[in-house]
Amino acid sequence: MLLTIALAAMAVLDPPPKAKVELLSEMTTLVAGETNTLGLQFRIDKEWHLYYASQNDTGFPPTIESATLPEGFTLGPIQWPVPTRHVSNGDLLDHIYENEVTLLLPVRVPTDATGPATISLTLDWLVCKEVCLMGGQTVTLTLPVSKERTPAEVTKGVFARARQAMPRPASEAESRVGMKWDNGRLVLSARPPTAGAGDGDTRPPARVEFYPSADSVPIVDLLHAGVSETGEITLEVGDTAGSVRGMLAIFPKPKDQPIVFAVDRAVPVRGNSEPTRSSDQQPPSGR
Amino acid sequence: MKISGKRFLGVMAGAALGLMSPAAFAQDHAAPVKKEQPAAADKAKVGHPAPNFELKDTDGKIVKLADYKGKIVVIDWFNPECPVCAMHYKANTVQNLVSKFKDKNVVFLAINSGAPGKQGHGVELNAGYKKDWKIEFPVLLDETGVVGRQYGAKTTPHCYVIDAKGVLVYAGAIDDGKPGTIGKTNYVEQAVNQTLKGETVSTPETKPYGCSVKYGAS
Repeated sequence: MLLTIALAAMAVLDPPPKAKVELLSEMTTLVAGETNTLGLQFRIDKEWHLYYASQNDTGFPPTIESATLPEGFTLGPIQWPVPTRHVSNGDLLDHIYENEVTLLLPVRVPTDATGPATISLTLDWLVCKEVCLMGGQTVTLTLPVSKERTPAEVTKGVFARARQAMPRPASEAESRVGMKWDNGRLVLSARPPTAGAGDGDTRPPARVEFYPSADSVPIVDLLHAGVSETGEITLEVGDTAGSVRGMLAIFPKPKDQPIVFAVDRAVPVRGNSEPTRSSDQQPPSGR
Repeated sequence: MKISGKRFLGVMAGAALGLMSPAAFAQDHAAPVKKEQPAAADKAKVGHPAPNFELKDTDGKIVKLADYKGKIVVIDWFNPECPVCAMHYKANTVQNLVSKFKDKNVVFLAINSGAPGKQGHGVELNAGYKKDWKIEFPVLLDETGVVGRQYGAKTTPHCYVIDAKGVLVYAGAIDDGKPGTIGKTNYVEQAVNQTLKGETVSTPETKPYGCSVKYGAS
């Protein structure tokens, strides 16, 4: 009886959200004629997680369901920080965020924009521990529009952390990561730091992981292919045209924070001839 | 513009219901009839014969896939306490398909591969939701997760369509929606319609969305 009452009482309350989001601006104003950076800062309850927009087996990443913007403003795409690889029972592979995560959201403001401007976003997501809950929230930000950039003191720390959590640009990977196509497979090899620049340690890193992004061609058997202890990762792709996109994380020692590079490599176009022909083994563009 | 996400109160109520029936954990109703582990070669693959299975439903009745030879079989991976699964059953996504394909020789099955102690597990709990949601097809219990692993079921929902010859012709999402939003194109309906017409399924594989299947340790 008591239980029934408790049940009825619980049923009328929304379960407390396990993740909350805030919309933040890096500058005190929106700068006309520029691409401004906003942040979607999620605070996630202990033991719960959100999902990276990736080749995940389960879950669903935070998604902008609808956006209300002043005339001429354009959004996106979201910049995703480095996630964590998460394998659960049944060999289910996901890429997740825990505790706190800030997604960066570019907003292009037209040159002739005048303020104040209000940006309103409705987001939804799936937040899971082992069990999952659907979450959603509408966040709104009103800022003056100006011509000058003035960094906001109050969000300085959040944006500094958010940028720190992003992968390094693909252009910086050259010295640390070898990337070559080998018969329809992309081989990513983490090189030791170049002589003189590093500490002379030439051993391969303890672990290398690859986290594809949602716009990557699918990776075959990512559960096994996406992690390696030899310093080299081989990604097999199907026949889909497109690019291998995502992040390569190098863990110098098992417990180290990884050094992460963005990866963006077009899948070489296969001719009608044998897939083993030599041109397939060349990278798609000059190095 | 799509309808924005709805949250469901049922999740907590459901969890509380789960606590009310701890006895269900002790029952052996849900145990599979056979303990054989399928060989890796028996994994379900689109375009190949669907692996047979034998599981008990919430009434303790044994259901074999092989019994449905000659019929199209739709399987939906099920966890009534997963909000994404609940969203579809509350919106009658699956129940409407049952009505649509009535008298068309199409069989529907739900399989719950949740392990004991995990969310959504238990005979009584599943029987309760089956009744509440007017599910007029068997809800099968696969608490060892053998069948789920064999089919590569990852999420709830995760749907499979098997043609009358026993060949797996579709595996993936129920529709092109997402958590909180029912999709516009129902992939299962499309696959069944095309199979009924003798056509090749145009979208044989999609990425399912939902909660993870609550497998136990293997």
